[in-house]
Parts: sequence; C-alpha cells; structure tokens
Amino acid sequence: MTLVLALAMAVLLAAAVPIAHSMLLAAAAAILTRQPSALLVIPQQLMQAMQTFPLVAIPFFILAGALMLSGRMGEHLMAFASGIVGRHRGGLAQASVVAATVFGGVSGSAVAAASALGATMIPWQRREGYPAPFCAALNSTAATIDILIPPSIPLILYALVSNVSIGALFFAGILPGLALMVGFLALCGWLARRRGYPRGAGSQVPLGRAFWYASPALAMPVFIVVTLRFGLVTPTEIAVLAVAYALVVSGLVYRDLSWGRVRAALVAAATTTGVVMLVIMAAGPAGWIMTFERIHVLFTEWALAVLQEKWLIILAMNLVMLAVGTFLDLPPAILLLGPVFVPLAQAIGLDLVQLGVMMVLNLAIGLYTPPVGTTLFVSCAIAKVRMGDTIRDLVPFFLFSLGLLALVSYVPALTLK
Amino acid sequence: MRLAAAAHWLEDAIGRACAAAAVALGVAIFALMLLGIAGRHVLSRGLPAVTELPEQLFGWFVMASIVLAARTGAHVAVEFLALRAGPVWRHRLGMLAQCLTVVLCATVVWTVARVAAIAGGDRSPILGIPTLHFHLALALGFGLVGVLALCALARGAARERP
Repeated sequence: MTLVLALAMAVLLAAAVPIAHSMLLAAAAAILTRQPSALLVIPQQLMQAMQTFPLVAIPFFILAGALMLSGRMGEHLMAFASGIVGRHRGGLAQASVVAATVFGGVSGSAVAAASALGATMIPWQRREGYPAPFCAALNSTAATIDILIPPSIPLILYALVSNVSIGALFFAGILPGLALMVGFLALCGWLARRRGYPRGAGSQVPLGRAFWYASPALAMPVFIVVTLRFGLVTPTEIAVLAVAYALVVSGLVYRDLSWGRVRAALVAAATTTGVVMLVIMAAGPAGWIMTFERIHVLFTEWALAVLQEKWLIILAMNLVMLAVGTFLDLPPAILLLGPVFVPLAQAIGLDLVQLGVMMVLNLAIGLYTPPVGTTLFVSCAIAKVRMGDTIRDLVPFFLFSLGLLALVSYVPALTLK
Repeated sequence: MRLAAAAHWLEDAIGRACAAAAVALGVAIFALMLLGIAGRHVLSRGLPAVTELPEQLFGWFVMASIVLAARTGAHVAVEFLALRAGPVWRHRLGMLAQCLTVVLCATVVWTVARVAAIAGGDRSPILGIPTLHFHLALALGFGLVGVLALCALARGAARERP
C-alpha cells in the first residue's frame, strides 16, 4: 500500500492537485488496492484530527498575529526595526531581518511574515536603490526566522506528531532563531559593503520612543515563553490569551481597534487555518497506512543496519528533509516525515526537541528554495521578479542556513530545554 | 455564459456563508475559552460544560475554514510543472484537479454516511451532545468543497466554448 501511496501522491502532486487532496486521493487509491472495505478509515482519521482540540492553538496564534500586524502595532514594530539598524550601510536590508525577528514574536507563520514584511519593506528598499532580486531573496529568507521564534505553527505541528511539549519546543527555537538573525544581519552588512548598497535614513522616530511604542508587541513572545515554561497555562490557553492581549493592546494602547479589522483578521486566520487543518486531516489516512505496514519500524531498522553511525543517520535525515522540503510545503512535510523520523531519533538517542528544531530549520530552507518555495514565491510576486533571477542572491543566505543547520544537528546545547 | 454566472453566484454565496460561520464560531470559541480560563485561574474551579462546548464547535470552525480556503483557492498545490505547460494544458490540468476533487469529496461524503450509521450514536461525556454532528460537519464541509469544484468545472467548461 505504501508504494501505491507514494507513487499516486507523486503523480497527483505533479499534476498540480492540491497537496491535501493528493494525500487523501493517494491514500484512498492505496487502500483500494489492498482492502476496499478499509476505506472507512478515511473519515475516521479525518474526524480524529477535527476532534484534536489542542490544535485550536493554531487559529488563535494566527489570529493574534493578524490582529497585531494589521494595525498600528505592525507600523511601530517596523519603525523600531529600522531604528535599530536603519542608518548603517545596507541598514534597510538589515531592518528586514530585525523586523522578521520581532514579527516572529507575534506571528507564527513564515508566509504571513513574508507577505506582511514584503509589502512594506520591498517597495521601500526598491526606492532606495536595492536591486529587486536581492529584495526578494532577503525577504523570503528573513521571513523564516519567524517560525523559530515563539509562537511557531510548524513547531506546534511537530509537537502533534512527536508528543513533545510545545513549551519546550518554543524555548528551544529561540537560540537558533536569534543565531539566524545575527548571521543574516552580518551577511546583509557584508553584501551591502561589497555591492555598494546605500545607507538608510533610519527611522523618523528616536530609538527610545520607537522601543516604547513597540514594547507591547515585543512583550508578547516573552509572555508566551515564560507562561508556558513555568506551566502556568496550556498552549491552547496562551493562544486565546494572546488574542485577548492583542485586542486589549489594539483597543486601549494603539486605539485602532474596529469590528471591521477584527472581522478581516478572523477571516484571514480562518482561511490559513483551513489550509493547515486540511493538510493535518489528510495526513491521518497516509499515516495510518504507514503505521499499518510498520514503515517507521522497517525504516528505523534499515537505517540502523545500513548507516550504523549516529552522525551519518542525522546527516541522512537532513538530506532527506532538504530534498522533501524543496518540493513539499512545510506542514505536510512535518506531518509525513515526523512519524518516520521520531522513532529513528529515539533509537539513536537524538533528543526529540533537538529533532524538532532541526526539522523546522531544515524544512524552512525549502521555503525559499526553487522550484517550490512559498516565501520565495510571495516575495518574488511583491518584488515583481522571476524566481530564477534570485538564485545568486539566495546563495549566501542558503549557505549560512546550512551551516547553522549543521550546528543545530550536532550541538545539542544550541537547542536549550 | 449563464452556467458560468450561476456557478459564480453559487461560489460567492458559499464563500460568504462560510466566512460568516467562521467568524461567528471563532468569536464563540474565543469567548467560551476565555470564560473557561477565567474559571480555572480566577475562580480556581473548572467549568466542565464551558470547556466542552468549544471542543464541539471546533470541528465546525475547521470545516467552515476549509471551505473558505477552497473558495479563495488557498489550498497549496505544487505548481511548478503546471506553470511550465502551455495555457491549454494548464487549463486541462486545472480541470483534471477539479474533477479529482469532486471524486474525492463524493467518496468522503459516502464513507462518512457509512461511518455515521455505525458510530453516530455516541455522545459527548459532559453535555451529552451526539457526536453525530461531527459527521454532519465533515460531510457538509466536503460536500461544499465538492460543489465549489463543480462550479469551477462549469466555469472552465464555459471558458472552453468558442
């Protein structure tokens, strides 16, 4: 059944059938080849995901991010980011990186960050004389910092397949996220000096005041991590409280709350939730087939027998994830690879929190790797440039991310618990 | 052209209804969960009924969101091969994807009906709500996604006519 599942899915994906639909159709085809009566597994698996209540954290984290980024809070975060680095050579490029990091504290989706940041930063950078391919490459790579800084939707999905604490994963993502930010800042500075990119004018608002205005938004990731870390609330509760916080701050501090904005944010959050939830639901039948045929057990036994060494197995896992991430979006890749890699990681003594951060960092690279890269696609559309033209500008960011991935894979201390 | 216009009207109606449902359910789940948190942390006692109701509504919110995403064409596909094809083949691939979506949705609705006949008598532990409503949400959601795919097929067929 698994072979039919894989082949059918490959054909359907190539025919541009939506990923979740491909997974369900391939699962149905695989079940029909072996035991047609088992087709009833499909609605049972779909229903199981619908009834997994901890997933309610996903729409509410998305909603909190949408509420914060669509109002004045987003503008203040941007002003703060450009205030920190905006005056240096290449400062406007570095502002994108800082903004992606601070936006990461309120949004849990790289694609949302790429759209929100790109819509403001790319036209601004273009006006200042930055080349369009560089702007697109920078925006698509910087946006991936977002999913390592809590809250993070991919880390919640990984928690779902691995049974690891969401709080531990959020905490572990912070250091790699900040390392990615520092590395990208250094790369922007170096590239700006080499290529003669302009100095920015900086923010019109003094840095201290910009920090003060942005502080309610900057406090949110701290609030999330601290409350989860000390077990004061559950992940679903903190997601709801994040929305309440966004509403209170928008209404009382920034005074830009309106029913129209709340409704638009709710519809946007529901649409994104629909995409993610259908993929989660569709992964159920495929996962059932793989469990039924003990694929994860067979794969673990095979990997241990053939590769033997821990470092080699970690390398192989990374290579598989890089290959899959190039063609598949992040949520389905986590949901399909997670159940296979988690038992293997346990067998070789690799910490599951470390595997989670490694997986998200690895698959995030796929978000800006052609031919299928969601943040790259969004950024290219905003910068009005072809994907192929960005490759030269993507290479430095790609190499740095690979270096950091190697460190996260082999240095457990980088994923704090 | 009439068929295409009717399909467009139906798609819009489904989109608007699902957006309204998602907003109403989102607000209800948020309010109930906030009440539950207040009960647990402020009043130091759990409110079981208030905790269970959002769990029951979540399934409907998910299905409304899935239909809304289908209406806006937000469900992600791997399109790099299709984009390399000419406009005629791209159109045909699009039509094929919609046909397969209709088949998928019909299969899900049919199997949900069969599962509901077997397991639909269960009830939720606190409020005693029949879990049959989850089956209904799933069938209705996939049914509407199927209708949207049929509408897209109708629009596509109308475009093909000379």
